Amino acid sequence: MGDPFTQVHDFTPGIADSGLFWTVPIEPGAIKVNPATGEATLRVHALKIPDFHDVFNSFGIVPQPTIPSRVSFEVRWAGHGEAADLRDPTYGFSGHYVNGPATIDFTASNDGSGVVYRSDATGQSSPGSPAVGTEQNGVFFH
Amino acid sequence: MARGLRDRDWLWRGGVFVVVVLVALLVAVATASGRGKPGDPKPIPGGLTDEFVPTPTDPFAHVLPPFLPFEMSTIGDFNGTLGAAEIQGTAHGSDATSFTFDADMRFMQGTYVDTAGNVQHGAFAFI
Repeated sequence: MGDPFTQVHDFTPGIADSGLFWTVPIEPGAIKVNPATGEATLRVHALKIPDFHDVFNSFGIVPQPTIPSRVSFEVRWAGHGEAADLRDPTYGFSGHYVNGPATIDFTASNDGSGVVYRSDATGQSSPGSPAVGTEQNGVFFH
Repeated sequence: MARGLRDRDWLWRGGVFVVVVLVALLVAVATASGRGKPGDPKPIPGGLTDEFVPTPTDPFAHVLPPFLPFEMSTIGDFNGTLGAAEIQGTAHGSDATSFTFDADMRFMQGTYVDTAGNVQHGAFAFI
């Protein structure tokens, strides 16, 4: 995670009353996935979303007003890395996953500002290994 | 006179009935808004404490890091495909500003049990 004390934008959907965290429904066609190879693409265009400014706000630790914004992004998982089967009875989930590098192209803007922020294609990295797979949890975990 | 009383009695009873229905609806709406709407996914039971330590129950935030061996789904009672990645890099604004970014991006697609207890199918993005 970047330094939250110097953060200036935080584009997330927020936390639902149920506790569902930063998760929103999307069109099924936004996802192309091959769990066998670990390849996947997530493509979303012009999603209306608040800008919480910083993670303290988006976690609800220091609530502040948000700025209406919109984001477009395409995340690509290259897959074809190490495969792993995982079963965790403590957290109640199991799955089969394939690792591989991931990259993102995004644009983000605050409504009415006229300024568009765009990711640079080069120099991207991941602190943990991105993964794609199948998972079962809760009542589907046996 | 008798009919007037009966009419008023009926109106009064009707008024009580309307109030009871409204109160019942308000209770139902309040209950539903606290749990989420039918079709809404439930969060995973685990997540992070307020000190950002993973915990399997009663978390401060129902989310875990986006890589193994952590649970990467944010949806509970879920059976499907998912992808997760934390990606860091640089970005530029059209006003010539420059930034670093750290994006936790995930998708979940498949079957889940919603907050009303119904089995649903859907696609979701974590942003």
